[in-house]
Amino acid sequence: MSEFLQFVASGVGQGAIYGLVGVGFVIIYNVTGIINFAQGHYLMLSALAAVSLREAGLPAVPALLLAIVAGALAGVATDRLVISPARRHSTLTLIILTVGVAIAVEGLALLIWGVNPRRYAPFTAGPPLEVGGAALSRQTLWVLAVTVAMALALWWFFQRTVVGKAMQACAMNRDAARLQAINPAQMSLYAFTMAAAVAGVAGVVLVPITSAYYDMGIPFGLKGFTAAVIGGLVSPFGALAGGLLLGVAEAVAVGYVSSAMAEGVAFAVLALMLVLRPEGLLAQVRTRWA
Amino acid sequence: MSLLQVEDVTVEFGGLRALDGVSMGVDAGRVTALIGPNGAGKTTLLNVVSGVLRPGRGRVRFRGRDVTGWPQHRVAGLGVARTFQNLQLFGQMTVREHLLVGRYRLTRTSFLEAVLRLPRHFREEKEGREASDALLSRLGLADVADWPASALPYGRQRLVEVGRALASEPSLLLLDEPTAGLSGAEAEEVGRLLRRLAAEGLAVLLVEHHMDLVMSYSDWVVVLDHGVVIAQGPPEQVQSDPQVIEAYLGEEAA
Amino acid sequence: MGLRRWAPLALWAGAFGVGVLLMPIADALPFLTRANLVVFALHGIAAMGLTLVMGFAGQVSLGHAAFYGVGAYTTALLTAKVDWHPLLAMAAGAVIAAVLAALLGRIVFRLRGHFLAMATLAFGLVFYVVMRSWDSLTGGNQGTGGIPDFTLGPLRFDSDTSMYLLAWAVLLLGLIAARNLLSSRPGRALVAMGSSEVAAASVGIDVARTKMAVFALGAVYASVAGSLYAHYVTYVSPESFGLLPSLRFLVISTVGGIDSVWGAPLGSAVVVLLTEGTRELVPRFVSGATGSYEIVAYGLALVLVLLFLPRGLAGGAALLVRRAAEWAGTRRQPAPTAALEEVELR
Repeated sequence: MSEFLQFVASGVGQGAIYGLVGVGFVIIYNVTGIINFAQGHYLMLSALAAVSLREAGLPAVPALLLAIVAGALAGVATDRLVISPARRHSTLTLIILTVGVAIAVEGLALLIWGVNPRRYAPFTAGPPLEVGGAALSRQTLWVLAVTVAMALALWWFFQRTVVGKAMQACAMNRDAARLQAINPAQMSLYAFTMAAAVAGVAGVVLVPITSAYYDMGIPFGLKGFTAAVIGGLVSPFGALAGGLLLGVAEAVAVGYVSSAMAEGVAFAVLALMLVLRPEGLLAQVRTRWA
Repeated sequence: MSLLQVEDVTVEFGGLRALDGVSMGVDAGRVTALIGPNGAGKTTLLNVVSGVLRPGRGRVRFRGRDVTGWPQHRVAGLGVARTFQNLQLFGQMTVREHLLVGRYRLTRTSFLEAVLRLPRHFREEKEGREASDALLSRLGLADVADWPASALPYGRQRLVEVGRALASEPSLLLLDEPTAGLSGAEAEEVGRLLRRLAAEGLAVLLVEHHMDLVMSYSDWVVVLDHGVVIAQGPPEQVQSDPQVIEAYLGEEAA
Repeated sequence: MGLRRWAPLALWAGAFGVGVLLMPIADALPFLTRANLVVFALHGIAAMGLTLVMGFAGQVSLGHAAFYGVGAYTTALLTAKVDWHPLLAMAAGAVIAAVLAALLGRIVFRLRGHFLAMATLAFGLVFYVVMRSWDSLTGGNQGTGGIPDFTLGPLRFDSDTSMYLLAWAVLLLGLIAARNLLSSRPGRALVAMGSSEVAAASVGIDVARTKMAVFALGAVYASVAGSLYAHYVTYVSPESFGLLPSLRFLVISTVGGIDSVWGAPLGSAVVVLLTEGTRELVPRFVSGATGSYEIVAYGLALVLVLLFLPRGLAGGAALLVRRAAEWAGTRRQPAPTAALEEVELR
């Protein structure tokens, strides 16, 4: 039992990251109808940027914040340079375009940072903490704390701000939203920016755990997408829950079977979800985001 | 026994009843019009008949055979063809290609026969071309046979859809607002075409908004309101039915 | 019809001739090697399968390299370990690929657009992981080698030049097969399905079966190319069939022009040049550079082509050919406005 608890403890950190990436998928998909293949790449950009800014001598806090901004700007660029000009194109074209963005960004990261993984020290040094018989690294606590903070911020944004409500209206019915003078192009920009920023946050809290490398975008993107699909692709909070489930499932598979299984778990879960319940596990309440 | 028999069909969308115990029949050699205010469930009924939707309750019989819940392509395979309210043309295909696709159920050429250019391919292409050309002339589309359908004006695009449906040599033709967006003269043209088709023995089920057209070209009118059949009969009789008048006045007042 | 109909074949013959002429001097030219001339044709064949799946039947696939891998591994195992005849092994690979693809098509047939893309991406990754971890069968990361030359009766394809001829011959067969298919009943059915599933079903087309068929067909193209590839390099490892190769096929199909069977060979030529170009140029500007730099070029090419030349190079070329045809024969009926540009060079 304590062994199982330990797996849970090591899974929640990764899972929270998947969830945060999944949040971005949900926001962009609901506002624009696009699944953005570059979603994991914003995480990669922010993670690598954090390492570089820190190495350049910036203090931790500004380095991390600037790295998140860098990720968000990549989101802005995706929308303005690629998605916006192609808005009237077919779904097929939009899909391939976001794939193009993803690999172009990955290539640029390779040019800038090379192939070797980059390390980043944990936010707070010290031995793991004991929680109910399981050891929890300090960075995992940071990840969880930041995830909770993000969840609250998202809740506030979608429930309490005009822009957040406008985005929700877009998600429910794009045509009706247009009639209420909500500009879909602008909503799309906000969606990409937010999604990239959330992924960026995930990236900077993740670096101390896994290091950062140029081709982490696709695996994290796919797992973030899996998290979002588990949550039914309708709610950011569903995606967060889906991420936690996936993270724990992975950790359990690694613990009881083998580490090569970890990849397999995510893909198997994704395949099962897409085939058996494309509507998601957690999407009983479909219309509300919160 | 009618060619198409709809019995007590009920369809619900998330608690909302789109069709509620609808029963009706469509006979060969007649134009049957399905009318009713917006949201009455007309298109839903076409979708049930053509296999797009499975009814929650009730039966659909075609030539006495129970086809309830059959997938669309199997229903089509029996000789039920349809058009769509929002045009569903095939992107870049030419007008003639649309008709050739329409003949899908009448032909058998397989992947292998096509790739290897075996005799069946040539035979069926030749038959298909002749049949399509005859149909194109009949529909007045011969001059644009090699045009991409998407390059045609809207009215003629609608005709291409009708042509695609007729190319499958159906015994039941379902038309979902074939005259929407057409000029008065064009609509008249469609009406006359339907009369000729019925005279040849085809059963036509027509969803239509154009009241003049319904009254002058159909043999039988079924009126739906809120998913319920409120009247049916010959056009003159339905026209003077107080319930029908109320349903339509209600719509106009709103 | 004359010019419009024959221009593509003339182009093909011309490109083939240029390749033959280049063969002896290819290694001396920038961005080109003899090997690239062969690889170009092999990738063209595989990508043609993807063009049928994606461009004509409208089904996204981001895992196409898996089927290339099925062909390559089947050939590798059957010819190197149990001594089958290359043709037989190639046929076995094609059958396995077709069955696997049909199964995939059956499982994902409800998924559309983005979801299908994600599902096929995951499928490709699973294939890669399996090839990497199934040590006893595939040799794991090390891969498996000792694949004999391809033979056909008395012919032995053991040089770059002979392989080049073989690959181009297969490419031509693939093109003819695709064109034959597309101008026939089953081909029109899959194009119809790609445009509107509900309308396709309304004329009696079984959409689920057609999807399985087109996935299988695309997989056969990829698998045959993979088998030839295995004979050519005599050694296969998972790297050649992972995500990057799948994305490469996507780039080839898209950049070449997704709604023309000529797109794949065109795109393949461009991608070979992009790949070699970046591999040669980047290390000159970035010190100590190692890695797959071509992905920058792939990504930019995808985005730029889709934004500015949505019908790819074949679409652009078709337009030029049409203009030329019009210029050569102005007496023929005037083309009905811009929309006609949409149907070219099927």
